[in-house]
Amino acid sequence: MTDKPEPTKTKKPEKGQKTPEKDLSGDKDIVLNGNYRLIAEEPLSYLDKGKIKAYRAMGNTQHGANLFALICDKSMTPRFQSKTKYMNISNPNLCKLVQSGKIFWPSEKQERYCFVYEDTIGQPIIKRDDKNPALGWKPENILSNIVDPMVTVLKEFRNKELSHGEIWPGNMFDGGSKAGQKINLGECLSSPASSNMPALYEPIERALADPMGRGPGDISSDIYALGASLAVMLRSENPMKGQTDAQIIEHKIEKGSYATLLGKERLSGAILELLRGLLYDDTAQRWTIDDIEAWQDGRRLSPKQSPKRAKATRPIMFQDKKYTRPELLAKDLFHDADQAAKLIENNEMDQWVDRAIEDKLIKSRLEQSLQDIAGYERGGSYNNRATVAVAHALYPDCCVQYKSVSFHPQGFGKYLTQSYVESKNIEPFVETIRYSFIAPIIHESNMLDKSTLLSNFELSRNYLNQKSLNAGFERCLYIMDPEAPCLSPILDKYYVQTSMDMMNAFEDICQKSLKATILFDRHVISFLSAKDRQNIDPYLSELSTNDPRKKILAQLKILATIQKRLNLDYYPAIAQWILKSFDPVLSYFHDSKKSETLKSKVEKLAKEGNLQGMAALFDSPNLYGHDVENFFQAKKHYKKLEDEKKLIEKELAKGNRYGQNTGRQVASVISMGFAFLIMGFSIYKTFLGG
Amino acid sequence: MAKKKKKNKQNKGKKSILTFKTLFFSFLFVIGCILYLPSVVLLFVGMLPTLIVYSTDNQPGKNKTFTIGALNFSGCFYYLINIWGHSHPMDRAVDYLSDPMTIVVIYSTAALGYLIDYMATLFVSSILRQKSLLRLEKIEKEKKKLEGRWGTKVNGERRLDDDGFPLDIGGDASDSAEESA
Repeated sequence: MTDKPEPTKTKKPEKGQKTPEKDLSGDKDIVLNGNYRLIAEEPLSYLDKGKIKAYRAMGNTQHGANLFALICDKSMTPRFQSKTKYMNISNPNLCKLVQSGKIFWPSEKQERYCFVYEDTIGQPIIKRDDKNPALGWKPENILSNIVDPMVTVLKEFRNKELSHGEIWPGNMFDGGSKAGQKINLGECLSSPASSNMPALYEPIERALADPMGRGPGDISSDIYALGASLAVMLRSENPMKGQTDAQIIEHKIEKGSYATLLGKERLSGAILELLRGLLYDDTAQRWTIDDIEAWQDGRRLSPKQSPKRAKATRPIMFQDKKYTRPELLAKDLFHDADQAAKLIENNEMDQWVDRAIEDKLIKSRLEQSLQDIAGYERGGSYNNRATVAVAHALYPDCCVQYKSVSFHPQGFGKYLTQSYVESKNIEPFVETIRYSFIAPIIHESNMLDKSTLLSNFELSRNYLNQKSLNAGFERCLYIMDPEAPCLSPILDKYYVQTSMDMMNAFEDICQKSLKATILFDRHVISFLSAKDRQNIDPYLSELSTNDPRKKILAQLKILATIQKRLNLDYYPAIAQWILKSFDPVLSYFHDSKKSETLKSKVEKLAKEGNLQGMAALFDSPNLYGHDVENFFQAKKHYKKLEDEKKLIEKELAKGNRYGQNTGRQVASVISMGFAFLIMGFSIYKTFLGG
Repeated sequence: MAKKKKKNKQNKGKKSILTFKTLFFSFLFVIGCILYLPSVVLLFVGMLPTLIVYSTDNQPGKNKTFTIGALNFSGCFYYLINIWGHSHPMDRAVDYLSDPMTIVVIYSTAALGYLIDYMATLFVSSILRQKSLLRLEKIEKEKKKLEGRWGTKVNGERRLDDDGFPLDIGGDASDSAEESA
C-alpha cells in the first residue's frame, strides 16, 4: 500500500488522527471503507468470473469475518445503479452484499471497484468452464432445491424491478451442503448484466448479441435463464454436445429452445409443463412469476399456442447458403453487407418476402425499412446500415448487427465502454451514433425506457458533431454509459465515478508531483459535463482558448465550483498545482502593486487549499477593467510629467535669461517700495523736517 | 455692398474720433508743459537715465524701465516739491539743474534702480533655476515610480492595444504582460 492514493484531504486533520484505512492493520492491508480487509494473498479462483477475480475478505467483529470480495475490471462497468435495490433484497438464497467501494489494488497499482459479499454460498454447482453440461439430476430434487428458492429470489427481483442477468448453474452455489439441498444464487452486480453468462442460457435474441451488448435484460430473460438452467440440470444427455454458440442459436431458431436444450429427453408431466412455460421463445408467451407460482400451487395452465415462425416456400441464396427462415437470414445478413445490399437493391429480397414467405407483417415492415433506406446517406457504410434495417424488418427481436458489433440498444453504452477500454475498433459505435439508423428500431421496440434511450442517442449525435471540449466521442461515452468511470489517461490509476472522486484523484496526483502539466483533458471535461454541467459548462469557452491566463482561471473556477457545490474539503495540493501555473494570471495585471497583493493572498489561500477563496479573488468582472483604466490614467500622468519636463528643460536651456522676467518683476516691486520710501522721506524733509 | 459701406462709415467715424482725441490730449499736454515748465525741465533732465533705459529695454512689460524709473523719479521728487513750493519756480529749477549735487543725487537713485534690477534678477533667476532642477529630479523619480508599478509600457513609446498591451510583440496579450512585467 505504499503508492495508495489518499482519500479526500480533510480541512484540518487533527494531530495523531488515523485514516480509516489504517484501522485494521499494517501497511500491506487492502482496506475497504475502514471496516473490511481484503486478502490479496488468498484468491478464491472458484468464485472468479472471467476478468473479475475473487479474494478472501474479512470484516471486523461487527461486520462478520467470512467474506469474499470481487475485484471489478475497468472494462466491465459494474451495476452501480442496481446496488441499492440489490442490497434491499433480503433472501437467504441470494448471495448477500455487505459492502462495496473503491480500493487500491497493489498488484495493478491502481484503484479498483470491489464488492464484498458474505461467503456462505458454498461451491458452484458446476465449473464455469463447463457451459453446456448435462447434470441428470432428479426432477423432485430440482423442484424443491432449485425451483422453489429460485422463484422466491426472482420474485424479489421482480418486485424491485431489477433483473439478475446471470442465472445459470455456473452462478449457482451449493450453500455448503454436499447434496445440493441449499442452492444459492450468486451475485450479479460486479459486471454488466449477462456479460458473464453463456449464450445457451439467454433467449435467442439476447444470445445473438455480444455478451457486453445484451443490455440489462428483464424478468422474462431471467425466467428463460432459469428454465435453461433447469433443463441442463435435468437432462442426462446433451443433445448439442460439441456445438458452437452460433449452431445452438440456429438450432433454437429452427426447432425452438425446448427442443434444443432437451432433445429427446423424456420428462414427467409437471416439470415438462414448467420447462415448456419457461422456455417459450416468444417473450409474450413465456411464463411470468405469477404463472410459475400458480403452477407451484398445483394449478395446471393450459398450454399457450406458440405462434408459428414464418417459413419461406422457396429458399433465398445468401453466401452460398439456402435460407428459408427470415430470422436465420436476418441473423447472418451482416456477415456480408455488400451481398445483402445487392439482394435489397435488385428487389430479390422484396420478392422473396412477398412471394415465398407471404407474411403480411414482415412484408409491411420490409416496405417501411426500404423506405427508410431510400433516405439514407449514400457512401461509407450505406450497405451495412441498409443491412441493419432489413434484418430488423425480417427479425424485429434480433439485436443490431452492424459491421463487427452486435448489441441491443440498451446494451450499447456498456459495450462501447468495454470496446474503448480494451482499445478495440470503436468506429462501428461512432457510426451507429452518427447515422442514427437504430432510432426506428428503438422506436418500434417495446422497451420501457425507449424515450430516454432515443434522447440519449440524439444527444450523443449532437455532441459527436460538435467540436467543443465537452463534446465528441468522449461525451457520447458518458451519455450512453452513465455508470462508466472517467476513462481519462490522466486518471488511469484511479477509479473515478463522481466529481468528488475526481477532486480526490487530482489531489493525489498533485501531491505526488506538481509536474503534472494538464488535469483537464477531453475525457475529464466530458465526464464532469455529463455528471453535472453546471460545474464546468460556464467555463468551457475560457478553457478552450489559447490564452494561458484564461485557461488557468477557468480550471481554477471549475475546481472551485465543484468544491463549493459539493461542499468539499480543502485541497492544498491542487491549489499548489494551480499556483504553479499562475504567473500568466498575475502578470496580466498592469499594476504590479496589485499583482503583488493578489499574489500574497493567493499564496495564503493555496496553502490552505481553499480553491473557492482563490477563485473569488478573480471573480470580479471589473478586476482587469479597473486595472486597465488605472493603467491608462497612469499613462496620461506620465505624459503630463514628460511635457512638464520638456518645458522646464526648454526654459533652462535659455541660460542666464532663465527667470529674468520674474526677477525683473520682483525688482520692480522692490524698486517701487524704495521709491515710496524715498518720496515719503522727501515729503517729511520738505514739509515737516524743515 | 450695403454692409461694406456701413463698415467704412463706422471706420471713418472712429478715425475722426481718434484723431480728435490725439489732438485733444496733445493740446492738453502742450498746455500742461507750458503751465508746469519748471517741473518739466527738471524731470526731462533728471529722468534722462530712465529715457535711455526705456529706449534700450526690449522686454515685454518693460519691468527694467519701471524699476529704474520709479527710483529715478523718487530722486527727482524731492526737488519737484521744492520747485512747487517756491514763488519763482523756473529760477529754482535752473538753480537745481546747475548744482552738480542735484544731478548726482537724482542719477544715484537711478543707479540704485539699476542695481536693484540687476541683483533681484540674478537672485530670483538662480532661485528659479534651482527650483526647476529640483522639479526635474522629482519628475524623474515619479516617472521611475510609474514605470516600476505599471511597466515600461507606461512611457507611451510603444503602440498599445485597447487593454494596454504592446502591439509590436508577437503572441497574445498575456505574453506582452509577462514581457512588460
